[in-house]
Amino acid sequence: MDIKIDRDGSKMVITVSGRIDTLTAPELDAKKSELDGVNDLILDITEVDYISSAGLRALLTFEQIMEDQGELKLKGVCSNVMDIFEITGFAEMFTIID
Amino acid sequence: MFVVTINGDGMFKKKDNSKEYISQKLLKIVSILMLIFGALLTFAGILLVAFSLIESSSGADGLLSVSARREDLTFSVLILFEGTIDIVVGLLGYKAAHSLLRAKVVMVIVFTMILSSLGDLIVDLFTNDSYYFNDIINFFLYIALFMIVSRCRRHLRQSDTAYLDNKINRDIGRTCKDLDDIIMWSIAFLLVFFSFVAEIIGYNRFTNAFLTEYSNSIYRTAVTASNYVDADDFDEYIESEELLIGYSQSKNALDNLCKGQEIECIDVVIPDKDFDEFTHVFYSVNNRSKKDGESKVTKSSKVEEYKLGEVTKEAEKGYANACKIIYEGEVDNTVVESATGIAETSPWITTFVPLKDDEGKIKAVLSVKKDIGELETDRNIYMDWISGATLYTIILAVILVSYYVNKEIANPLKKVKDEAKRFASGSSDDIKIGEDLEDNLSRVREINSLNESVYKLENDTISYIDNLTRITSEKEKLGAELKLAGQIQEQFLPTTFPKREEFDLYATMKPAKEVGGDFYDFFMIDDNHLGMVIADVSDKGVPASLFMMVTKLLISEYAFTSTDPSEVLNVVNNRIRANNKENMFVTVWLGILELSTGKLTTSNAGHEYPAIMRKGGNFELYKDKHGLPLGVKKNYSYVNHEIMLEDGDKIFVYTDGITEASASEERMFGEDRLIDALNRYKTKDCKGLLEGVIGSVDAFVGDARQFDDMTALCFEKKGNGTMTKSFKADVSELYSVLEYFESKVSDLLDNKSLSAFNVAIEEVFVNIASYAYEEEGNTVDVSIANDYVNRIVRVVFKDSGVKFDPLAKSDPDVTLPAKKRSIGGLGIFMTKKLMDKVNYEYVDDKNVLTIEKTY
Repeated sequence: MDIKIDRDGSKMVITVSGRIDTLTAPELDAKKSELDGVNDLILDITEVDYISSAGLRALLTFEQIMEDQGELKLKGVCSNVMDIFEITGFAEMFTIID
Repeated sequence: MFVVTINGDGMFKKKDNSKEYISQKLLKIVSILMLIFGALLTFAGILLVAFSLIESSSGADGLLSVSARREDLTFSVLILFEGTIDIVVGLLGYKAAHSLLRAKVVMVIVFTMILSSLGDLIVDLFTNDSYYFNDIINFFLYIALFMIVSRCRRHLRQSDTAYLDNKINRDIGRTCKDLDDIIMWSIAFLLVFFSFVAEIIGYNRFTNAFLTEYSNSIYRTAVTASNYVDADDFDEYIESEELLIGYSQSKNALDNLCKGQEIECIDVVIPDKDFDEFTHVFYSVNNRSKKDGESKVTKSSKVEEYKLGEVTKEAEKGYANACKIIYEGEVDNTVVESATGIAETSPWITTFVPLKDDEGKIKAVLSVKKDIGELETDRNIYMDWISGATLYTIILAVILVSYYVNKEIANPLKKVKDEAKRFASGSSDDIKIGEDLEDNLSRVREINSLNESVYKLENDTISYIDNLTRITSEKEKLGAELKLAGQIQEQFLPTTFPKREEFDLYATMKPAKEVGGDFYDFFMIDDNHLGMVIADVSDKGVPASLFMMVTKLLISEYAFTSTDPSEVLNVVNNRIRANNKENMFVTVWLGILELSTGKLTTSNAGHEYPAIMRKGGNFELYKDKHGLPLGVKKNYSYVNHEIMLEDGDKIFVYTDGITEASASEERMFGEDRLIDALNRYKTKDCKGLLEGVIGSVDAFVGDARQFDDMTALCFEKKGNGTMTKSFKADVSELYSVLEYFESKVSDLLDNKSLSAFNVAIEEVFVNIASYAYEEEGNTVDVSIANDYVNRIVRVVFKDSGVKFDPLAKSDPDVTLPAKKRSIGGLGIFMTKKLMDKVNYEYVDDKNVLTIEKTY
């Protein structure tokens, strides 16, 4: 999994590629510390084709933080990941953009 | 070998400066000499004949005897003959260097001429003939001509291809002669022999007849003469001093008789007791004046008469003996003769008669001698005519024969021979009938039949070749079609063998001809039933292959309607039987395997027993009960046999092409060798096993040709496809587990199912790895099973950790907003949702969690 962060003042784009599973999720989870002062976060997961419950938990953490200081948008959700989102209600919970 | 260059006309070129050229030139020169000499002789002959005719007609010299004139004429004609023969030989000889035929003719003629000349020369030598010079010249000319012509003939022959062909190709161990040579030489020899015989017989008959005639004649003269003398007076004549009147009268009478009868002499002698000395009484000599010259009749000069009382010793040859015979009184006359005419003396004949006195006592002997030169003359004329006629006949015959034989036999034969050679050496592409044969006609029947036979042979050969070519091309076409049929048949048999975890299958067919009558087949009837067929049609080749195609289709079609082999065979049997006018039949073994249970149901329509190997055991023949082959009996009922196949069991079915493969007529491969071979390769997979068995059969038969197709099918049951692996119960093993799973099922699952399994396996494994064990170093067994029949992939996790049922926990509320969501419980919930079935058991102190999903 690769993570790329672009910050422009209070705007931040985190681009993730690869799998977000039990072994890689903690790395993504660690990026929550950089969210101070961010009120517009876009999580680009176009290159993510797999996500397990550990990945969902990382996403949930980001969502809970951003609910207090701004807005989180998910970008580029592929069909495999969308299936998981639908099973788990995450599809309703996130703001998903194309 | 020297190389001979020949022009079209057979002439050797000068520039060759070869022996051939020299021979040709020499032959021409000798021929011209012959021609000139012949012309001279002819000219002389004509002159002589003319002279003889003039002389005889004018009667210039009446003294010349008739026979003498005849002899002169004959001699002249013979000279003329010789001259003409020389001209003919010269003419023939001049061109003999160009033509083998002429050379042959000249050789025969010259040879007979040599014989004739030799005979003439011998006669000349014995008779001291003064005219032999022409014979000598002729003889040597002929010898020279013969030698040169013989050389020329040899050269011509060596340049004649036919002669060389014969020399080279067929050495029959004897010298081969030309046909015309044989005939010409035979004629010449026969005629020479005939002439020889005729001359000897003629000579004897002629001489005898002549002598008989003359001896009679002079005997009568002698009797007449004896009447002119009186033996009683002889003593008185001799004792008297002077000639008595009686003596003179008698002497005159005898003299006149001598002249009148053309008698040489009349002699009357009184021999002494020893017949040593003879006392002449009378001696009359015919001293007529003769013309010496051409005639040989009389060469003696004037003979002096013996006087009365003159005593001589053995007056003439044979005299004494003749007188003695007369005196002994046993005959009334005897004859002494010299008829040969050899040497200078003319031939003569003398007859002796006794002169008796009144008392009947023999007093003296009277002999009458006559010149018989005419005999010789006439005889010579006769002989000359015979030899002359023979020579001419030979020349004529040889020329005619050479012409006829060549025109009617040798040339047509040569044409046939050349044509046969041309025909034989022609290539099969442009072979055609010789045009020469059609107008090659002879007056000799055999030649014509030969001609026709060769003509027919060529015709037949050409049509035969045409036929052969057509048949060959048809055969090739048929062969190509058969090959194609074989390919279609081969493609008709399944050659893609399933790669399945739960079984292995392989089959092979090796047709003896282009197309075969055997077949194998296998097919999935449904997800749980595999059909396997092996069959052998009663015949081979094309009919069998047609039958085989139909049977294969019928079996597989009906197998899809029923998983009961006997039922399938019953139906197929009736279908085949219904249209089976040719009474063909097919033996079939049909097995239908229930994959989920390993139950193999088989039905056998007269086919070979299958060989079965139980896991770890040996192959053995499974002797099920045979039914009749398909196509034999309508409404026949086939029966089923059931065999339970366990994992690792193998079954091998085959056709009799394998067991009856033979190295020789007596030795077949047989079932025992088959079982041995199977057991030798039993540990291999189906493909290796089949290849091993076929290899054993091939090694057994060697180069012996096989007449039956060889077909075999091998099946091995390999279990239901469950695989288990232990992993360390640690999250870091996650990717290993996923990799293991994907390696086993990746070809079965689509992307979505694979993704779902990935998530489920991760959730379950991470759950176990995180919570099952309190200390590290424990393991979890992951089993992956593929249910082919139900198209289910099943993954089982077993751990010996704390007893824990993850499914017991209630599902999280997925409708809650993010703030109210708890972190846990989501993994198992996702697993439940992604899988069709999730199950937990605690068995044998182990947590067993099973997830499964249909694909």
